[in-house]
Amino acid sequence: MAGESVQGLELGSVPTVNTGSTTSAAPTIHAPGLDDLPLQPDLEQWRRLAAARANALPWPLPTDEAWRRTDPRLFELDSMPVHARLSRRTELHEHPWDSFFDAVVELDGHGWAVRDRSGVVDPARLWIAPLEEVLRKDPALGSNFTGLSWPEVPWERHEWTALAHTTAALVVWVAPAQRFERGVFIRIRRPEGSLYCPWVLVRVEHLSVLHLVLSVEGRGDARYVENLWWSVGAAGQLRLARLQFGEGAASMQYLRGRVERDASLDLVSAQLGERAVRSNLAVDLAGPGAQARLGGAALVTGERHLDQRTLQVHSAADTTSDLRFKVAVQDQGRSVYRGTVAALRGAVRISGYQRNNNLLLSPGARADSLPGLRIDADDLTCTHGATVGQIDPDELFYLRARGIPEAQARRLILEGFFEEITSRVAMPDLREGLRRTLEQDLSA
Amino acid sequence: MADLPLDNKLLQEYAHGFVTPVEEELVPPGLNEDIVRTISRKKGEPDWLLEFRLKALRAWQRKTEPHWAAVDYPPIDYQSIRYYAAPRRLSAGEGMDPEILRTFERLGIPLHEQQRLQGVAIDAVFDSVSVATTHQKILEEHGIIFCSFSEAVRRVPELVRQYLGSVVPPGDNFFAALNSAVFSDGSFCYVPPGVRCPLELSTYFRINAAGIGQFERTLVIADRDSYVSYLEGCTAPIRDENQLHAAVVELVALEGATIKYSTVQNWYPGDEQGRGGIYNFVTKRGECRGARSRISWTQVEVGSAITWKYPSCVLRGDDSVGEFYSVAFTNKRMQADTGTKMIHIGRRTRSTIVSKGISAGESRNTYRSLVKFLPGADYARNHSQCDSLLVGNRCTANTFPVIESENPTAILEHEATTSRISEEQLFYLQSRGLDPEAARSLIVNGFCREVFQQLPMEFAVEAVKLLEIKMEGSIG
Repeated sequence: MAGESVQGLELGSVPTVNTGSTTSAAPTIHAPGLDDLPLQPDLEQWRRLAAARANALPWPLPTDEAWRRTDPRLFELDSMPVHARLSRRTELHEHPWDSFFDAVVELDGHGWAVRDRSGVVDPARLWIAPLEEVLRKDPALGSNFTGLSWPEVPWERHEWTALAHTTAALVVWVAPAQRFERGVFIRIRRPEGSLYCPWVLVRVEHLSVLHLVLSVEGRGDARYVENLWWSVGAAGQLRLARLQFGEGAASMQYLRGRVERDASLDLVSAQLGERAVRSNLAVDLAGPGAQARLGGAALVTGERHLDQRTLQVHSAADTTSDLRFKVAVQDQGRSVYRGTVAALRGAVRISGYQRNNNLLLSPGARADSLPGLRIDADDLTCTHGATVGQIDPDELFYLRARGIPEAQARRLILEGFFEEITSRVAMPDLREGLRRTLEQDLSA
Repeated sequence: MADLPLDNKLLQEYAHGFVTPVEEELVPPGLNEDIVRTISRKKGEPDWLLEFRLKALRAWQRKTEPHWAAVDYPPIDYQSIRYYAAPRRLSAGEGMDPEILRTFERLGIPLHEQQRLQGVAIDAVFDSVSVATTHQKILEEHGIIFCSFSEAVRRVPELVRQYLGSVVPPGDNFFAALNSAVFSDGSFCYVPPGVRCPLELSTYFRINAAGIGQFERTLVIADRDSYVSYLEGCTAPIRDENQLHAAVVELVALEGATIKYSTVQNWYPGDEQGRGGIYNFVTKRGECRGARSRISWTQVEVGSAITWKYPSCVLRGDDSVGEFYSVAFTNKRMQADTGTKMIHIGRRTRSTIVSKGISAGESRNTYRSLVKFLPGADYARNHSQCDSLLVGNRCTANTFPVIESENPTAILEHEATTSRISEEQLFYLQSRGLDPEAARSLIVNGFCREVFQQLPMEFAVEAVKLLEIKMEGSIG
């Protein structure tokens, strides 16, 4: 992973972060968020501060409440060398889904490339560029990403480490009043054998629409830590699908975003791969009339471990959130879901919904669910529900009585279980693509 | 309660806030081995019980106070608390102090035979000791042992020794360890095989002395195919200081037995500024040890400055059933962190959780629960429902359930909602001539109905009245 350079930056200035997970008994420090560390054009300086943040935090211990159900040793970052930062290159792999999109971005172990299929990539309309470049031209960009800190999702050491070591920081910016319904496809092919930390920042300006799909794939063991941040301006719409494929790596995902006045976010997350996954999703409904629809589908097989955390923050009045996370666990798989709906003081007339359904498909499977409501306002309705169970024997009987073999009947029921989520994918072609992928996974 | 002058706001809000002037025998404040030995000696306990206490004390000394609950309170100085207080006349063997009799009469708990409520046998606990147990004769005819804990240690030591600490071990948690080291009295109940207890059994806890903590211990054993319904009530005087109440309740249901445990908790909750009130840190746990056994917890919480309480069921026997029905009302600066645990071990075990939280004023009301299916809990089932009602805009309502399933055949459903009293319902009732307070009270009663239905009749009436009084003035 020798020194390549990005946009004229010397790799010699990579800040030192101790990636070693040697557990220390240091007291828990509540790491300040971005508010006092605003993104600035001097990114190297910023990375050094991020590294200091990381070093000031202890590594989690298995006894910490947040890590009691997920062994932090699954996510030790020191066992792999830090992947070098990447440069732009032009070569791009073909993917059957490419034709669905206006623009395709590929990130891999060597660099990154953009294919502008519809001639829309333009700094004045849809700007896809490294963070350094965007910050040089528009130093105010960073202000869209402040305030993404809540006590329920404290900044973790892994997260700051990843930010300090970011392999590729990429901005997708949509100018006001633009519609990109065919949107952008970001494909991340994570390399094997290293710590790889992409950072994607999405800003949709007011009245704009963006469809964005981010998919991650890869083989072999690796440490993958992704930071995906977004901010949707007034009356804007972001339709985001995040698809996790891949085999063998420990993957951590930190998704933080804000939805402003009358704006909406439609997120579909599919967790279909990797050996160990810890995903964090936090959405702030920051302006009156903001909406978020959050869907999650996950299939946990073999000895995989999936830990998903979600936070719906209602910080403004008249906001709506609707979260449905569905998980099917098979073999010796293990799933942990922890979700919170938080209504801050003054967030009146809101509606918060959260549901987590778990299906256990084999005797060794295990699912933990910790839904939660934290309400500091009145005049609102917040609801959550959680279920754990097996495939309904009546449904199975119904199908078998009609001559469908058991294995196929089970698959059909599972497809139906996930349909509530897959049907939320906004792009018809992609929706079909995701259905087919799920079918294949369920047949395997 | 109806006899009290209604114009007296303070009495209306907390009618049980008076102090009884009795001479009490106190031990010096502080907690160490000597104090534990003193308590044990005063009660003339056998060596094995002293050993139990000392073991618990050592466990307590190793433990740190838990702070994960969503409650805030200043640090408690455990060395400034008196761990034993007993009315002097009683401990000198001179019979009951008439003042104490009057206290319980004022509380509506008649200890004289002629005044006793039909069908309820009462064990009354005043500070650290049990002062009276009624209806002993009728119970003895059925072979039921219902007496104070100290008496049980003398009368049926082998039973106490067999079951004490078998559900809540002495080192279970910080407060349980504290209780196990210094527990002074409480109630003991044993229902022999096949007996359906003809009376409701009841314990009434009263904290009177200042600067003491109350650490009572309740042990209920229902032998094969028996039935017992148990009630618990609690009050304390109005004081500016906080007082600690750390009880342990253990229930054991053997094969086919049913235990119904109901609590109306009306400790002094503190004033508007959050001064005073009881810290209620209680460990309550029942074990369905035999097949087809059943344990049902019903609680109505309207008082104590801080509540930290999770009545739980360990469903060990196949086909056993656990139930938890709760109404938790918080007002002023009260903080409640309460809920339940259902541990499914046996096959086809079932549990139901119905929790209703009502938050008013600047209070904080948290529901916290654990439902766990172990790998052997084939075809186990749980249904949980927890609803929160918000009254006022400065209160907090939290819901933190934990669900763990290690068995694919187990089925669990959990639902929770938080909402404000519906304007439509209020309008409907007001347009029919009800004043706003009465309308709110009616809606709240309807909200809690599912839980009140589970209470024995006398308690249900009491609970409805209590909630009405507590609601008054809470609507801003």
